[in-house]
Formats: sequence, structure tokens, C-alpha cells
Amino acid sequence: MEAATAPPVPAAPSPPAAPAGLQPEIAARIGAMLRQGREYTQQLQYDKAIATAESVLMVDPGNRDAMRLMRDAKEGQQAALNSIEID
Amino acid sequence: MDRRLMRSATTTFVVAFILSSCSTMPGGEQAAAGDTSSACNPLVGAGIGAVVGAIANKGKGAVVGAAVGALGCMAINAMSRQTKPASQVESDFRKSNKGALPTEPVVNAYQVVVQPGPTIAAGQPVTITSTSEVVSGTATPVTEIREEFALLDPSGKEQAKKSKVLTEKGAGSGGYENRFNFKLPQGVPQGAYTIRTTLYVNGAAASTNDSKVQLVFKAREGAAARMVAAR
Repeated sequence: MEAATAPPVPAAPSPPAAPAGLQPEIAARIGAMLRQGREYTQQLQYDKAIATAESVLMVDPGNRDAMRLMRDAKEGQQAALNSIEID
Repeated sequence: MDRRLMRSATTTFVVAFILSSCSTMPGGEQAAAGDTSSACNPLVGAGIGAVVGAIANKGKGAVVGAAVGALGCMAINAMSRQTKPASQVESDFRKSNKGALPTEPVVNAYQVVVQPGPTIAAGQPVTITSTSEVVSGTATPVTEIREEFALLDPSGKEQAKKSKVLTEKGAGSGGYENRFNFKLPQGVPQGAYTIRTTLYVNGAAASTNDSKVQLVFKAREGAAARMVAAR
């Protein structure tokens, strides 16, 4: 018995494929950006750390390290805001 | 009071006078010029402290009492003080209002100055100086003037607040100066912060002022960032 043929599904627009051979380079660049982002958090430059995390997430939306960097930087910012004292 | 006790109280009063001289504002401003009834006078505070201390502890507590009294006044006068007596503020109001006083309290003037200016760096001390003139109403006198300071971050969220009472009970009309100091620590978001000051007369908000300060990026931070990027 011949299997029923499924109706043709319109092909979804595929994201532009990275040219072969560049994927490891992109991953390496993301790794370098995340290292830089962590340096920013250590220097209390949370604005820059957040911007770096956002850049990584635009390229790699599910990147957990970038999400963690974002969360840590925002927590650091809030801690700094909470430490404001008025005399 | 025996001679020894008198000497102790006199010495203490001299010390108190020196202490009171130190409590004037930078630039030699004196507290409550022309109207000491509604302002804390360090000399009076120290004198009362000296007498109370001397009586309570036969002279031994006079110095401590004086110091406590003087320092208590200094804490108040360091940040807020009366600058114009009631008579002057009311006279000024009458001149521009056909000789009449208001029936309800009126804030005749309220100005706020932010120093060092509209742009600040993290860690830099910021001073907010407000000057106000409040006129008592003929039907409702001024019983209390309080100023509230709120700091809003660049997103508009309130991050810090402080309130100070500028007057003592039964204050009446007067001109006042008040100061708030703060620093934005390293790590806070860059952008425009709002400094909101509100003057409360008899518990009700009577006047509000919004000032903006821009937290700017320091060149040294940029250099540090470039060093990190170059590694």
C-alpha cells in the first residue's frame, strides 16, 4: 500500500546561512565579547556589560552566558542605585 | 552655685562659644539672621547644655552637656537655616500685594540650585540648595515647613528620598535655606537623573521643583574599557 503523500508545505524563509568555515570564528568572537562583558561588570561598568550582552543575544538569542551577564549587570546596577545616600 | 562650679560653667561657655563659631556655614553665614526665635542657636544650645550638665553632675557634666548642646544645633544648622525673619518676608509680600497679607499660607518664592551643575560624574558630590519664602495666612498661620528630596533614575523610577523639617513649632512666616547632598556611586546607569524637591507647608505640598542632572561618562573609564578590549 502506498503511503498518502503529505500536502506540499511552503518552504519557510531560512535565515541567511553563515558562510562555511566562519561558524567557529563567530563563536570565538561571542566568547571574546562575553569575556569583555564580564570585565565590564568587574569594573562596575554595567551599562557597557548590558550593551555587550544585548549584542551577543542579537546574534545568538539563546545564549545562556549572555543572559546571565545581562542579569548580573542589571542586579549590579540596582545594588548601586540602592546604595545612594542623601545627607 | 559655688565659685568652682561658676568657673567650670564659665569655661564651658567659652568653649561653647568657640564651638558655635565653627558651626556657621561656609562663607561665614550666620543662622537665623535677625530672628533667633525660630532657629537653633548653637551658643544657646551649648549654654543650656552647660547649665544642665553642671546642675546634674556638680560641674563635671558641664563640658559634656555644652558639647552635646552645641553639636545638636550644628547638626541642624549645617543643612538648613532661616535666612529672613517673618517681618521682612511679610513686608516684601505686602509691597507686591497692595499692603495685604494672604488668608492662607503662601509660598512667595522657591528656588533650587544644583551644584556643580547640569552634568556630573559618578562619585562626584552634588549639593542641592533651596531657598524659600513662606508667608503665614491671616486665617491659617504657618506651623511647619518641610522639604522633601527625591532622586529619580533615568527611567523615572524613584531611587532615594529624604525629608527635612525646616522650622520649629509655631514657625510663622520666614525665609529658609536648605541643603541636600548626595553622590551617584560607580555602577549606576548613565543618563539624566531628576532631582525633585517639594516644599510642604502645614503638611500639604505647596511647591515642587524638578531639576535634571546628566551622569556623564568619564574619560578614565573609557581608557580602562579600551585596555580591556585590547587584551
